[in-house]
Amino acid sequence: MTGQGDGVSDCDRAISQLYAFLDHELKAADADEIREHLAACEPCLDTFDAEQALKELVRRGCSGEVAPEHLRAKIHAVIETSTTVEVRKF
Amino acid sequence: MTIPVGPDNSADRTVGTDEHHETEAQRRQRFEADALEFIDQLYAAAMRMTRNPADAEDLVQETYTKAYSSFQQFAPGTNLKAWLYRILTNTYINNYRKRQRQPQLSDGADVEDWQLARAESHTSSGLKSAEMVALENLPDSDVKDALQALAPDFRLAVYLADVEGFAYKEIADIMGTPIGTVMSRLNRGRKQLRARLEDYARDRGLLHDHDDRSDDDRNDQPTRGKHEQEARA
Repeated sequence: MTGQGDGVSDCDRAISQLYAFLDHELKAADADEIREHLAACEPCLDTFDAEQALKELVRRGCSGEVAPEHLRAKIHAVIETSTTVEVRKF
Repeated sequence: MTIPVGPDNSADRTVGTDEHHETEAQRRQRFEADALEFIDQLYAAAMRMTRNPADAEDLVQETYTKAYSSFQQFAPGTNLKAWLYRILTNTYINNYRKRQRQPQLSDGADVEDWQLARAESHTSSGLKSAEMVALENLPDSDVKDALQALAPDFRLAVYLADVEGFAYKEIADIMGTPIGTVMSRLNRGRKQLRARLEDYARDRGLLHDHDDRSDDDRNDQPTRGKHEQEARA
């Protein structure tokens, strides 16, 4: 599938940066270029939407896990009886 | 060791007290105020790493014990949450991964090449709306199971990015790998995850064989009503 007329497909360029874009890792100018392409290219927009939906699904699916009360209590107890170490190689 | 501050600074803690002059009691207070805030998140991550509550609890407890021991050396104003995750990850790798009874999946071995190729093909344009609807109707337990099925390095990278929203640089620091490795793990992990979730959706009858990715199907409207009915059943 070719892009908007140049040799290397605009779509290939956009897709190659898909995760960096969705993960907010692109510089503003690069992200803007992607947005411009998405505004003009529905297949790429579909792809980006689908990957964003997957990210959101993972987040939703793994949320809501709460540490049990007895764990909090145990950690409190451990800290109360611990002392910090002056110098420690970690 | 300092963790670079990521774009999301919500986890940064600027400490008012000078940590070199605080008493043990003050340090305890500071730790309990600042670090224990993340216990639910660390527990959630530990559950994804260890797959069972008992090991997850031990892992979190050990993490906090180690963190408290080193707390005097923790530089305030740097990313406390990422620092805690680094300790959690290292502790897991050093102690628990060895003891895992479940078989470890080798990187990439569980997803066939053709599925990856299909996922990468632009003509398929990734998920179509019928597939998206199907996946979004999966129960949370399926999402967790699919994540568990990933190789640990892929699983952790996806978890840190998608659930915790860490930047690549933070993930690289937490996992002790170059950023390029993080990106590669995310790339492969997400593709594997999607393939597995689609399998689950098919198992549940949320996705049918005719919901195939092709240019012909792209113009069809998926029968969303039917899928939603099945999902709610």
